[in-house]
Amino acid sequence: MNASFQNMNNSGVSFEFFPLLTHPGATAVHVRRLITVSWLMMGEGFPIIEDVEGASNDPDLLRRLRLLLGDLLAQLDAELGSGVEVISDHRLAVAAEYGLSRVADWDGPSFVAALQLEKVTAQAGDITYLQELWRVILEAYPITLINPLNPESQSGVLKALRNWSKLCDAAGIDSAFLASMMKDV
Amino acid sequence: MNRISQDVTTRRAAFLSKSAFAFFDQRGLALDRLKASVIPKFPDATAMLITSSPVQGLATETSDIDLIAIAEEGGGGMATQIYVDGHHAEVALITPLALDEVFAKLSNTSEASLQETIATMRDWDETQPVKKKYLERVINGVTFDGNVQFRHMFQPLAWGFAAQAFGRMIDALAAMKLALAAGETRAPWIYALAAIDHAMDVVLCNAGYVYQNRKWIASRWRQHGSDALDAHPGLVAARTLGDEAFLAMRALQDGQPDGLVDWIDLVVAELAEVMGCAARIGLKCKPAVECRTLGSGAIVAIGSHRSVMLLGNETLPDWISLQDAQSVGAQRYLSALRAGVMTAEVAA
Repeated sequence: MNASFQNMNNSGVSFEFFPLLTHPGATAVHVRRLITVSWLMMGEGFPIIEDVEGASNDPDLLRRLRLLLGDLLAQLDAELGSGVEVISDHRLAVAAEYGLSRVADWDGPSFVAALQLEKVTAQAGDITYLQELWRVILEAYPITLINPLNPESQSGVLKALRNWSKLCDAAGIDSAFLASMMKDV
Repeated sequence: MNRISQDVTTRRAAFLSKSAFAFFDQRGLALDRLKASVIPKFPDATAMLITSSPVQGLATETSDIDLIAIAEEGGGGMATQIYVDGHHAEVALITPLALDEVFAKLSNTSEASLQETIATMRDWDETQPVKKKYLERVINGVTFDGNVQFRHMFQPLAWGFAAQAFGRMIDALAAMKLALAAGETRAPWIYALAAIDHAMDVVLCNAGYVYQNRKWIASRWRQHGSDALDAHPGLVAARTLGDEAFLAMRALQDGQPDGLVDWIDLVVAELAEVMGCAARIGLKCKPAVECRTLGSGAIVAIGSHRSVMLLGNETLPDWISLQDAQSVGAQRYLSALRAGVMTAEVAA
């Protein structure tokens, strides 16, 4: 893990991300998981962090963005096969209570501390912390993801979608889920 | 059902339009430059709408420009990305036919009961050709010449979204109480914060101030909370919603704050009166839930989405009051809510 990020938090929480992701998995399930998680990180994660950058004058917004990022990590955890399948309105609460297993090996208190969900006051450094947290997550993810919000990324997004479609064909997966996934974001 | 006066409609439309132009001024982006980049890509569009945070007066320096084109199908379902002088605009496309269909559906909720409207809004994205977030954006959208073209839909939008927020508030309240009764220590406060956020949304939407995005709730409350509260003189506990929200977050660290749960109960009772229903809350089995035998003494309930819940040897009741659920099996009923097997409802 990046040393500068480690210095930013003194929570004692482990920040080792995706501990099981490079283990082999059943072809169809694993391919679909990797594509779905990659797309969610691109389509939901980057916009949250972009909003974080714009929240310097709005602590209320920053607090809600922490919740959104926590909810996204809980969603990724379920997509990666944590076995916890709850409807979306309950994801964050369940993660706060019981933690995550696939995005990071966090119990509930570690999840709350890592996302700083308990912070009531906004402080200088809160924005940098979330940006760094996201950067470290991206760094640990085994696939290099592009930020779809950057103008130069548009051809890269289309190329990724084409690659995923071919990968689905090769793995014998119906790629229809890609279309509904794109519309959902 | 709530009634949005002509005066509120006029003021709301003027606010949305003024906010859109203020946004472009602040960004230093000439509207003509944006039009010149966007319009040629959608030559058959019957409307091009500026939407989302710029029209709601909530855009930050990093906010995108979200546009919606009402035009015939094209582009394979992905939004079109456009960059103008360093600004990022995204254009989503909605067909006139789909828009007619969802406008009719939303208008029909005006004749429906609160519970029916909550159910309609809950299932909306799975059953309707235009998702809720785009429906709201279209109705609050502002054309390039400043017209709020679909303002005639403000009334059903306000009712539908107020009902949706009320349903979510009830769900969050029920989950908070069950989680507390089940001995959970962090989840209750995530639910408490959700209940408070949705309560603010009920007040705002019911008075006509609709925006589908929870992240902006505190900012919307600062903008319009006072006007929205003035529309309902009976609201007393709800007046402190904006101040109390982060008691719930503090509770994640410090434990249960004195009086928070009782205060949320009071707010819910006030809002139930505003929405025209009783504040008697219970849990109801969803109609589509199937119970199947897994093995001896083991029944599973197959809930919405991918959730399955192991029930032991007893099926779930069609209806149970929240109070009874708390005392006879909080963990079981909390799991049922989380699996989407049951939902919280106000008693008829």
